[in-house]
Amino acid sequence: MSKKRIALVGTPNAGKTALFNALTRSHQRTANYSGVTVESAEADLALPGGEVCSLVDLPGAYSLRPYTEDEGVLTRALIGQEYDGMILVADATQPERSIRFMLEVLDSTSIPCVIALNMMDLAESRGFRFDLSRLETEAGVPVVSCSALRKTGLKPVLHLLEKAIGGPRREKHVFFPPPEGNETPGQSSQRILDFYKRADSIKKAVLIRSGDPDTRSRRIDRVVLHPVWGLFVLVAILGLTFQLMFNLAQVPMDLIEGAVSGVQEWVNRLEIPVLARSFLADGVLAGVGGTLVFLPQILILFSMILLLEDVGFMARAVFILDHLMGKVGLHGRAFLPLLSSYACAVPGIMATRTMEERRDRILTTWIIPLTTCSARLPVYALLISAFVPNTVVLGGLRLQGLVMLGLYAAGLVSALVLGAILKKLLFKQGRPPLLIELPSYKRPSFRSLLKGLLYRARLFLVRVGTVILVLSILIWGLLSFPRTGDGAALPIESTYAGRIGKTLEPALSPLGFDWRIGMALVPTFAAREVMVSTLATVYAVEGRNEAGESADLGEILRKEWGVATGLSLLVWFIFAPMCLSTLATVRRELQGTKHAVFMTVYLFALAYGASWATYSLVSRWVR
Amino acid sequence: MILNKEESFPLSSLQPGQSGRICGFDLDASREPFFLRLLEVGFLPGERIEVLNLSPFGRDPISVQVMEGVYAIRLREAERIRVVRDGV
Repeated sequence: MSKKRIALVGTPNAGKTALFNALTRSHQRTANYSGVTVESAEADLALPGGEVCSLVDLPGAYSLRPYTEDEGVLTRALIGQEYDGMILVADATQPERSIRFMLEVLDSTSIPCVIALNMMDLAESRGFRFDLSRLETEAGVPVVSCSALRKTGLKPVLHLLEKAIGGPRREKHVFFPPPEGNETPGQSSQRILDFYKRADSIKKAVLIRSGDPDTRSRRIDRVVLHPVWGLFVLVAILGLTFQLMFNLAQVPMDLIEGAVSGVQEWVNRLEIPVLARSFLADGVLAGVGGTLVFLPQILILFSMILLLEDVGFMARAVFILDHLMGKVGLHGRAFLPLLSSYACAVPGIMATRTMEERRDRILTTWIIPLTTCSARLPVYALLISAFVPNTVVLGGLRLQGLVMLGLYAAGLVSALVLGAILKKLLFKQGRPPLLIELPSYKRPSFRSLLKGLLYRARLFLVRVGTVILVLSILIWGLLSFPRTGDGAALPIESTYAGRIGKTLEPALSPLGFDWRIGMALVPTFAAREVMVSTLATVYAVEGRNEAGESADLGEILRKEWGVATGLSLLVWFIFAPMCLSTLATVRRELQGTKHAVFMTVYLFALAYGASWATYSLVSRWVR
Repeated sequence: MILNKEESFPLSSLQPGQSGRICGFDLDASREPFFLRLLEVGFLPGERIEVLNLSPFGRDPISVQVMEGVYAIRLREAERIRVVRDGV
């Protein structure tokens, strides 16, 4: 028998995810809903009686009349009755809104339900008092007051849930609102107003005492949203994020690199056939290890993102940046997707789901590949160390660091310029309206943070263990075969990879790329970072014939390529080869191959043009 | 849905710290779904609305408190929310 499925529903900022993390112990999975994949979690939930169910964290919504694609998921799930039970999370500090949402949900579905009146600790400290038994009578389902953050009241939630799903389905009143929204706006507003009256009378009966306003959040906002201090705070937070990402990550990255090369050395000493040694060391370990080093950076960026989201800062960042983003045609909400894209474009594109308007989603998705995802970092690092002298320039800054910063800036600026152009060309009508809640500031939950990070880490490691591993082996195979009749290696230009590179050479030579680079570019469409390990393999495979030992890759490249080629390749990486998983995500999220094709074409054109210009200019000046 | 009172003025004319009571919306058809969403989160005629902050860039969007929630909306939409002086 398959596991029973329990839905976790609630308004945004009601503490749904905190409750999810407090209730579940085991690992999360990405939940799939009919048609769309929403990056929302699903995990095992153990009931007091011992039965294990599956708890699904459905996207939050303000009402069942969906306004964003995200909210549509909830409406379909409830009306589709596909769950065996649900926990309705209500925010005790926002009784009006919570009661409205509660009524709407309970009317629309017959799924057995328990109401978790969350954030009760905060509500009580602000003076709210509820008549819970009256609320139970009005709602017709059990109500438990709890605090996901302090982990109080969680056991009763599970007990009552267990009882509810063992019992009969509830009686459903009406489909409310009509599932596919075929009422006129006039009918809608009348319905909402009538509904309000009903909700308001329940609220009056249930709320014994209303709480004081949230003055603490107001005081914090006076600084965070201040015309001067606000900008200061925002810049400081972004600066800290990137600082941590580059400096703090260095130690674990060095450790991972050291460990991988240690294992490689060990493999190379094993008494096994040369081909097997090469397979393990150059194929499996070089490829997988080369990607694994990003784990610390991705985790640091995501821990900042999760933390800022958890305390309630993200909505403020949208508030501060909305006007500026509007100048380049973007919605303020594009901030989070764009920031996530600095780790990886895939979660960035998925994060565009919270935008109400399709044009906002499309525009943001189109420019996301131009932000510098962490997979580009090792390529940049290698090429910069090879081709940019590390001299000290203005004010003690190092040129290499400045160039790195410049590459990030180039990506961002081209994204913004492109956004502005696309807006002018394609979206002539005005911006759709903005409505975003600025939630109360909350103490972050470290359990939630940890779970979120573990989830990210698992997604990444699965990718390393599957896509990257297979590709690394494939590339190794292309580089190592065919062999001569007696099994010896052929010169690299005679391998399959070499032949591919030679075929591409005529098209790439205007950019200053020879067949070796062409060969190394092919696998970057699967994963950009593979470039480094492919180059390492190409030159190690080649070099081993003569020296037997590989020198520093940066040094080899400096000798083999001119400066113009190195810089041209750097520029290529600002624009072009986005990975296949990004394109697959675009296709799935925007539900159209044409968007993926358009993005591929425009990014290629940009990359080719910019690299060509760089190569032509630099080769005229240098040499 | 338009309850245009003589003494009403647009929400966008309020300064931070000032408040009023919502009395209606100037609607055009293209924005109806948005104003329905406003109704749903609690921007109801008769409710008290207070302007809290203006965004550092361009003084747009603005943040307002309605019922127990704080929301950011842009000036363009704030111009279409009619309010009367608090206590009227």
